[in-house]
Amino acid sequence: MRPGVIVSLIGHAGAVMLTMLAWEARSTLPVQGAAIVPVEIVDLGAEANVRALAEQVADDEVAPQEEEQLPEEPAAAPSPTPQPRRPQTNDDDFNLADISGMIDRQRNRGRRQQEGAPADRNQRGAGLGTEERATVESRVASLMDRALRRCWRSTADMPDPERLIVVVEVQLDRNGRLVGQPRVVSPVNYTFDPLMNEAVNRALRAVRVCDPYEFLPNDPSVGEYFEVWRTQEVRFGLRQSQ
Amino acid sequence: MMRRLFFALALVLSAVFAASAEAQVRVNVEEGHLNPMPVAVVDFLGASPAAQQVGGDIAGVVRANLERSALFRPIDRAAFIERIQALEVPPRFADWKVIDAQALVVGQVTPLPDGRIRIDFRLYDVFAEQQMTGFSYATTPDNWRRIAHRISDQIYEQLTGERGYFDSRIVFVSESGPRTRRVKRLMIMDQDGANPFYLTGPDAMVLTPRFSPSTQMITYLSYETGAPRVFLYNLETNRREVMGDFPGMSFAPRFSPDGSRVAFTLDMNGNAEIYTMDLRTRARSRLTNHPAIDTGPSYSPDGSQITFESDRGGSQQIYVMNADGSGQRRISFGEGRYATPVWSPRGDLIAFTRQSGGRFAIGVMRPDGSGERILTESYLDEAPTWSPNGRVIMFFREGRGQGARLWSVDLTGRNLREIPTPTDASDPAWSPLLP
Repeated sequence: MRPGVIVSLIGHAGAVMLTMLAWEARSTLPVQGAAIVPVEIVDLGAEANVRALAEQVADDEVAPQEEEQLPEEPAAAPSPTPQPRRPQTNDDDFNLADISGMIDRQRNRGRRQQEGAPADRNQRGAGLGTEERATVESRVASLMDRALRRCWRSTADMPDPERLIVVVEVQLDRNGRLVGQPRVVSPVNYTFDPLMNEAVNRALRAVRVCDPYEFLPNDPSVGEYFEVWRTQEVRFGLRQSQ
Repeated sequence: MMRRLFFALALVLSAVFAASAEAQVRVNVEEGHLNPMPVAVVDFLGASPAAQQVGGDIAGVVRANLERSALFRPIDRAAFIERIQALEVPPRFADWKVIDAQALVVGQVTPLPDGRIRIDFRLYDVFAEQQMTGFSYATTPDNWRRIAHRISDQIYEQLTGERGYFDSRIVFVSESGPRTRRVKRLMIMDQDGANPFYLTGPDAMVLTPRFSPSTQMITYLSYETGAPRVFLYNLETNRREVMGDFPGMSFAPRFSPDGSRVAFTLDMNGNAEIYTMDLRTRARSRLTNHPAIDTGPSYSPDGSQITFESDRGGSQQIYVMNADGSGQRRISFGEGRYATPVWSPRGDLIAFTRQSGGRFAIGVMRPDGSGERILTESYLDEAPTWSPNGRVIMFFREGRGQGARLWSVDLTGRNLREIPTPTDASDPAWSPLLP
């Protein structure tokens, strides 16, 4: 056999092998044991927990709103013994929001008197007849339902949703703004039930996200009946199957 | 006595009067929406450019996880008003309410003296103006993706009330090469498609990988020794072993919920029956005894029952039996053939593949066969596997003349997404949450 043929054979074989190697390398991803790199959970230090800080700041921010409601308190709940004024935290502070709020309220009151409306709408509601009151309540419930269904993330996507019923008490001021935090009426014990816990969160979130409920004071048929809609019990839950 | 009675009466009367005085409007909200919750995830802070880079990457993975779940809608960062400067300072909730963020996620990355990184994060309920949860993690810098998944799980759990599924992995059959000489290898990756690695070489074909629901162990079928055999693969020790030498062909293995047993099919003399094997004692027991083909066993999460497929009724259908083989009963009665039943980790549903009218569908039904729902359908959808929380199903889809790819769909059937894989991919198996 001529040497050229041998060299040619070796060369071709080498070329084929190199091609195979290159082909293999092209599609190769690393092969490895899929070891799991550990993650250590470090406890939160006290300084890292800003919840307390947040609440403190939130309180500070809320304070002017509470002040704003103070003059309305006696009118909102007529009583033989006047409510004592709550201690003011920032007596000496000049608060433009407070003053403008008071001016607005005074102006509205004046306008209502001109339009023939009663001097203080907070007086209305208590003297309603049973039938009339039922009509107002029905209208309020309908308005609230219409608003809250847009803010409530339904529990329909949760396991066993029929049992996830949450009742929340909501307090509003005469402008339809939420007063304080909504209170969970039922369930009573849900701390260790994560799904019920989430159902409660969804209800509370809906109430907060929908705030303010200005459509109530602005509604011509229920707006003046603050006594009727100032405290409401809202039930969140899917329709029970018959 | 009279005094006590009087006191009780007074109490009752006062309660009645109080109730009437407190008469409230009762509002009944029965319909809500199921729109994704708007969430703001801020790029995590970092003291150095490298830490800032990791912080941005973590926030990106968290956003992608939340968005992919379809339960959340991460808000575009361009809409953010407040620029978070420090983790210790409470956010200005009013700024986040304005952009309709219902939850806010902030965090920071801190390099530690030992070379690791510490990641702190906080989740705030914007409208309640309070912190919902906060954690700190420490790990190696290259392990930041796991931290992002852990944080995503924390957020998911806080905002849905259910366990998360982001810190988990998928093992599947990677397919490459021409159709006539297809190379099928085991590959593993994060549930979002990141960090893919081969687990087996190109020489032996592998099929039907299955994760243990409770340990980092995989069982699969391999032709490594010539005949098809069931292998066990421990991902923590990186050890592989043949499950047993059986007189026939063994396939379709699946772990029991506690990982101590494997149910599988053994085909002897053309009759496929379901067996179970104790992995500690290697003792084997037969569960079915029928001339028809019985295969595809899958345990209920409490380990008391097994669902499987059988053609004993004339066509392929889904059956359920007790874990000892007793009480066998058919549960699927719809049109077409039903196969690959897989019990949900929640226990409330069984996922299946249905073949009808020349198309394949992935669906779910209750363990008694009621409430059947088809989630997705195509030319070929097959091999469902559940996420650890029983919320999402992954499967493979193959188009006519196209390679197989992995897809996921949630229980609504509306959130259908392709999972990126470096090669064609089939037969996915979802891991439990990582330890």
